[in-house]
Amino acid sequence: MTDQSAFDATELSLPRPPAGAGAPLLSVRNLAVSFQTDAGIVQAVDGVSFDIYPGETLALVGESGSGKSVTAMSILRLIESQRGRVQSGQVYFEGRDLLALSPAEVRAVRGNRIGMVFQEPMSSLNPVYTLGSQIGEPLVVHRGVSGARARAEAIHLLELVNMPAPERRVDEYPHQLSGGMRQRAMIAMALACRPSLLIADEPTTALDVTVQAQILELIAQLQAELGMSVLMITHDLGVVASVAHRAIVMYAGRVVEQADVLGLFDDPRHPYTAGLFDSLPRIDIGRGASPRLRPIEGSVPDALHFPSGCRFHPRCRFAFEPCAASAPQLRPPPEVGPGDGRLSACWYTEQRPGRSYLTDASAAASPAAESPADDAEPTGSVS
Amino acid sequence: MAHAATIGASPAPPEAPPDGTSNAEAVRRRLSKNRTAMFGIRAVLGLIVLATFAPVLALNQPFYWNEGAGPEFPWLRALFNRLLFENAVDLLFNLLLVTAPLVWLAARWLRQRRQDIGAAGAYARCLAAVGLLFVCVSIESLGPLKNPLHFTEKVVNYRLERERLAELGQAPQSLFPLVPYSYRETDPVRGLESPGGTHWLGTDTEGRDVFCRMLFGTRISLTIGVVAVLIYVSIGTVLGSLAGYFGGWVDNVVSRLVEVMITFPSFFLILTLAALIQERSIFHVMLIIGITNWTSVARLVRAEFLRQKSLDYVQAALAMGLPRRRIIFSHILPNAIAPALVSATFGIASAILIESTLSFLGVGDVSVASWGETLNAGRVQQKLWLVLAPGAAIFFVVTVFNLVGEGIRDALDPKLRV
Repeated sequence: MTDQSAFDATELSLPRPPAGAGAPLLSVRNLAVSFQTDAGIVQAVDGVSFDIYPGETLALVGESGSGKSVTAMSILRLIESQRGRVQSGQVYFEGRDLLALSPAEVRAVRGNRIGMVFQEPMSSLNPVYTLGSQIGEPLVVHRGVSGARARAEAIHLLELVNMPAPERRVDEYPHQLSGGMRQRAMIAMALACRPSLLIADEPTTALDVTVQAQILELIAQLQAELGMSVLMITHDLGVVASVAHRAIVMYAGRVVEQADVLGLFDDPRHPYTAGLFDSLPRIDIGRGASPRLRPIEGSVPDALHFPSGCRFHPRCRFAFEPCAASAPQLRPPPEVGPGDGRLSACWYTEQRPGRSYLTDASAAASPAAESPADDAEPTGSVS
Repeated sequence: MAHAATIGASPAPPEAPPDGTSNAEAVRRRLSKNRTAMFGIRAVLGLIVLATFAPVLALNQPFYWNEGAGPEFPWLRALFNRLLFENAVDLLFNLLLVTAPLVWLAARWLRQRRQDIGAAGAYARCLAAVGLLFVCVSIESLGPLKNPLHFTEKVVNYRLERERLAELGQAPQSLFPLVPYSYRETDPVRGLESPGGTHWLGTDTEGRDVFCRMLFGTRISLTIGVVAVLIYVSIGTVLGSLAGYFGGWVDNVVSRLVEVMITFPSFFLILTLAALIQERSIFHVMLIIGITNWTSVARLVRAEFLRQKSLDYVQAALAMGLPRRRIIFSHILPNAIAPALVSATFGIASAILIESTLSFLGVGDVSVASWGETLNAGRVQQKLWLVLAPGAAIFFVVTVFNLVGEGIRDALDPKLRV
């Protein structure tokens, strides 16, 4: 049931803005975050902008080190506790710039208006407190609810996240729960104050595959039930396909493409996105002569020495003169136009409108077109 | 066969607590399996009971007294007479003695009503109430309201009174404690008496009953140990927490302070501070031990905080919008306090030892029944029983607290060694 509805939502997702969504709930503008390390300044996030509309799930996709988690941590200004520094940018949420608020004002937003779920359910719960007291704590802190009422609400929240036997679990300690149950408890905690935005930072990465599916289903179901927005940080395109309405692809600290999920999967507009799809095994295309997996050559650039221009150009199959010279702006592809909500940052897309990378890649995979190249460069896989 | 042996010899996986238990219960279970530690805990509880009930065993005031003019109960009045028990330590224990049945009943009632807090929690709450009551008792007056438990009354030595009346042939009806002497009652004629029927452990230079002094000395030793350690654990925990959590200049200031403190040889620092105070009370001694010993706790707590603050649950607590004070003291601290608690248990033993040493050296509080002082009298007078009794008492108490400390250390983390 729930699984079906999540799937439908994906199918029917409209280009930005979603129908009747109105003003965005959260707007990130030109966010730049850096870390001071012994080796120098690492520019983890560089000029990231995006919007999240009420009731939608936005996926932030990218590989390790692309800056997606740093972006998420910067929204709640948690990056400050990890020695990161927000250099510039604004994060508008409910009419205020979170980056300009006082620490106390930000604290009133955390866990109250914006909930957050982390990657490691095994260590994200405090081992010395029962589930009930931890889940109820945001209510005690933000709403001034009494201990007994917080416990009752915790039981209710555990029911909401489909925890078996919530009346018993509420008095148990984290070590008595499995990873999946702990992640459910984390979600319950994040939802305690009924936030309008849930930030989920790779919530399924540490879980095994069957539990992953359950947790994703739960998030999709809760989102539909509570009408909140979800920012889903992930490196897993499968997760994007199953829960997100729209997706933002990040590479080396910058947004390279933004699209609704259907459009992104059907017709990626950035060579990096196309490369990601090419490197995924697929069972739905190339019947008979199934194409070989085509990895993205090379590896992620060192954050201390990003390439000039487009940061993807040294690995890009389509790179030409302007790519190394200057960074492309995130713009609607010319043939699509601004109304569609698609954005991509690529000189090639701008100058050769209408080319579909996936088609191109499929063509390249056919023996006639580029088999010598394939032989010359045996697939050294990039994971 | 060889395979089976190898498999059998492989170390057992760490014992996972069975369902329905908290970490604290797992610790308690490991502790209850440790027989020496359980002996230590029982001995400490025994010492606390002994200290509390000391006036029942030894006091020169009768429980019941009737010389023909009707029954009197001087013992009960004497417990709060400031002329007989001028020291706050004695007052606290006397209050505990009087309220002991109440505490027991209240704790039982509390346990039935609130199942979640357990026996220890129930007793802790009741004893906290007694502590509050103690503060009230200590206050002499509140404006026009005179404290009825705060009075001074001429002390009648009922034992001498009975002897006098008996000589006159009018012996009163009376019921005395087992040892009808007070620990401050001097008898110039019977100084340095050997152990015997009247004075079980003999008398000291001023003719005071040594058994009485040993008994009431338990109160002093326990209070010294607990209060001094409470003082330095509080200081060390707060400073260590802040240094570990905030790092940066806060850590720098605290760490340098710790380094300055540990450059002083601790005992000579204590000795100097004690000698500087003109009118030393037992509380000065506690304070001095407290403010000179916090460094090890601060370092332990700081180190644990450094480890804990990078863990995910701290990030999660931040993301939940919890106040920083709450994150530091109610989320990280319970996870970081274990090594400090172990060191505190050993600290009680060492604080008792320090106090005895100070009294032995003559820089303690002369008005209280300190074991060290009797020990010193024995050394000066070359009397064996004056050395043996306090020596054995100090040895026993210190050993017992060390046993408890070791037990708690092993139970908290079998791998942890302080």
